[in-house]
Amino acid sequence: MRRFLTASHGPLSEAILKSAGLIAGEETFHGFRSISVTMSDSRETVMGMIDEIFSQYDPEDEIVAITDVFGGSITNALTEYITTRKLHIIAGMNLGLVLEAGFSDESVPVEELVKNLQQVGHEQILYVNDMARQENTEDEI
Amino acid sequence: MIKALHLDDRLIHGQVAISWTRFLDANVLLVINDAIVNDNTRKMALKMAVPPAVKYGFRSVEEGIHFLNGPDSQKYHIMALVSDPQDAARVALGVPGIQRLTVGGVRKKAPYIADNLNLTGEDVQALLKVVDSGIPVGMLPTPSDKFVNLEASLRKASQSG
Repeated sequence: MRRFLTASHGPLSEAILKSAGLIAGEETFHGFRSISVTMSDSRETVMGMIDEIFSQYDPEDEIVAITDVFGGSITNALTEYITTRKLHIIAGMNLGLVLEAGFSDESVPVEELVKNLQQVGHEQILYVNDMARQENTEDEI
Repeated sequence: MIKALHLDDRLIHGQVAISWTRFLDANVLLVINDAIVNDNTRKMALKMAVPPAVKYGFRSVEEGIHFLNGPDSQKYHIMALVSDPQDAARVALGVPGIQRLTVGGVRKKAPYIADNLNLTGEDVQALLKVVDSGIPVGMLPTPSDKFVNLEASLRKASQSG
């Protein structure tokens, strides 16, 4: 089975699932879990949160974790699990990326999914003023 | 052909651009509104919300009905978007084959009908005409929500108004 997880400093990981649910419907993110760490959480506490969630998953489950920022403590803590679990970590969450994860199809191999999520995440960073200046009318009917 | 008629004062926004377009496999978002046709600033902002590989169009209510009933619309899967309840009724009654009118929301200074839905007396009467023609009207902000039929709320509002 494929499992999804968001992880962040503070409320972002949980809030982004709520925001995504507003756009795509809450059902789309059914089964998604989130981990939120605060300044007072020790490394042991954070590992405990991860263990608590992972212990509910089968060892053969594919886990896709979407984290707030590369180099952050929660990303680093999760990284320690990539040798023992079928864990795939994508750092740099944004709403478009999380929506794409919600819409994803379990029949798509996880390697392909991860590449797609990374690409969608990149494509979401846009300078809107530049786009507004483009006079593109070829898609207009 | 028309795949859906959706009433939402935000027209093209996240729920429509991302969830509805995908769900319907729509390849055209058609905004039907008399004022926006001549408002380049609104059009610019709405155009940017259109997902890649999806076409878009802006039509007045009269032109929109004409387009949807004409041969050019048959080659597309169209999601028609209206922001005004009375426009919604004109389109629903003017274009044969519409299965239902879904509502994302209309937020304005008018009596409360349902969450995110405020309607004037004229709006209520217009939507009741749609209901009476056999086309269900209901709240459905995203396709994965539950369709909440508005007929009872509209009748109640009609009686108290």
